[in-house]
Amino acid sequence: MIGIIFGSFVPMLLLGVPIAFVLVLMTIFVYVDMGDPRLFLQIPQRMFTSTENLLLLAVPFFIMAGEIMNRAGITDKLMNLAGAMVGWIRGGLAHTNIVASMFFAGITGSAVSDTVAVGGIMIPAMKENGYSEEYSAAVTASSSVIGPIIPPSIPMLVYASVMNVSIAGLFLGGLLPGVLVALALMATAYLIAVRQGFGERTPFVGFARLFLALIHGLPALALPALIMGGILGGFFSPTQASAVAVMYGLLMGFIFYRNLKLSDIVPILSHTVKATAMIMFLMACAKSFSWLVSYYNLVEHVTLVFVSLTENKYVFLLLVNILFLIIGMFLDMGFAIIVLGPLLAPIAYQYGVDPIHFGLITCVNLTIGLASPPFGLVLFAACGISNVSLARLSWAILPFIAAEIVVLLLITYVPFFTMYFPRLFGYA
Amino acid sequence: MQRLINGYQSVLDLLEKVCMGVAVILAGLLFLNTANGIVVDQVVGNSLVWIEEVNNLIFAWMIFIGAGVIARQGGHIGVQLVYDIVGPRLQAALRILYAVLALVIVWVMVFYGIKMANFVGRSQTSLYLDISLFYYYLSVPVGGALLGLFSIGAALPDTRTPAEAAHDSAQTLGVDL
Repeated sequence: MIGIIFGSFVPMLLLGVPIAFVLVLMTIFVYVDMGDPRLFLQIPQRMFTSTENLLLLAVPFFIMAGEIMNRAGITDKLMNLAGAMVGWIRGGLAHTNIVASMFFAGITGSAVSDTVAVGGIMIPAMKENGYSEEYSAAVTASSSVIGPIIPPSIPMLVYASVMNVSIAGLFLGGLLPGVLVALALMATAYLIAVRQGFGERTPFVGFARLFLALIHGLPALALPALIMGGILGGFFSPTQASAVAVMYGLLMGFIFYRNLKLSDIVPILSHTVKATAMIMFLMACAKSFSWLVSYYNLVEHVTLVFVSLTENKYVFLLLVNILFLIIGMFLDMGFAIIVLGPLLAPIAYQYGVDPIHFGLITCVNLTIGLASPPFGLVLFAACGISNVSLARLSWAILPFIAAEIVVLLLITYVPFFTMYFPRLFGYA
Repeated sequence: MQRLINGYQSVLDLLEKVCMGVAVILAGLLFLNTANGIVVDQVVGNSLVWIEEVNNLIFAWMIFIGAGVIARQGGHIGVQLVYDIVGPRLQAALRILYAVLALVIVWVMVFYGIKMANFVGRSQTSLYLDISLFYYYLSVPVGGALLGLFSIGAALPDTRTPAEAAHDSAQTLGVDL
């Protein structure tokens, strides 16, 4: 049976068969081998029950809220604010790009949206100001991974629902790692800018202009505060908070910024349907596959492999990080969370790692994979908007990925960075 | 044969528009229903108990219809390592392989999905609104059927000129998706 699982899994994956299909097909092959047709009834039944998880209802709403804010033209406002705050530092536009991505992270929770929205404006602006094209694209792609780290975060929602971990705890735990990644990227961007002579220092815009930019950007920045405040204050459940985010986005788009039009509604909903269907169908297919995981005690097998390699918690975490980094380079993070999360998390708990801490290590690690050469999704998005080849971008992004890995190791071995806020609010 | 394939693609254009139109309406309803629940909860202090039941029904249909439709444009992600480096002929062969494998899943989703829907629909209803669970579970075989139709569409060559394809699309619902 195990032979069927692994013997069909790798070839299908390499041939490009959609990951969701691979998961169901492996289940079907095993059922065929077992020879009991009644087992097939479990597949539609499990597919359907995956949609009953109320927490996952937040997925379409956060996607919708991000798309609404994007179309409402908040990108310009956030970039003006970021520019006023950090544009005066050497390599100012790179820092503006990174800080804008951090602000944007509080709205979309998606790295690809961030790359397209911020990069679409920042990459041409950086090129005009003498920054190299690959450096501009590398800064954009690497900083966009902050999107799924700072709340709200779609991968964290998926992780929380699969692993039954507090979503509020995960959201809170993502705050400091998100800021750390931004600081590490800014330091790297600064060093490269100095070495290669990009972006002369410009004078600070003054507190009056900074205040004005803050006023314009504040309504957008208030969104993550509203979501977290609503959940922590006990006003809404996480799912309700996501719907409140949509209401707030509509209010801002139609009344405050006045950039949203009624004709934008259908494209926003269409985008929501497509993105949600992709994520949720993968979840539905993984649900049918999860029967195999429990039936064949795959968790026990994987545990034995790890225990045979090491009994040291820190070495285990290092091995997990290496495994996730390699997998993140090639596979979708949804797959890694849904399939590998249930296999590895129980082992981590046995080593005494807090569920929120392990969830954040997993999410941050796999998020870095989104920008890792050669198959990171945001690399393709950045190539598309910058006309830089994948090979050139892959080289240029390496120092930024290295900086992100340093942060990853920091949050892995210093739980303070992930656990401070969850502990402060009583989630750990 | 070519005319048959082009005709099939034109029918899929229409079906894609209709299905996306339905899924978009469901997404809108999902938001309105949830928003309604939140407003009542905050204003009156009592939550509407049936909100979750309706949301579950809408959410399931939105997901499975959407999952079927996005198959035509390669919306289900996979590792494109081999696909990107092989020539057009092998790419066409791989697309046929994806469709054949999709049809295996479709068989399970449709055949066993209908059996499952009939089974639960015989005796089980939702708690407050008394909706037969048949209508909840029916989303799986319907989504499966759409997945099959659109996966075949993705595997077949579309030899229509861009103008013809655009014309076929324009003949449909007229919803800008």
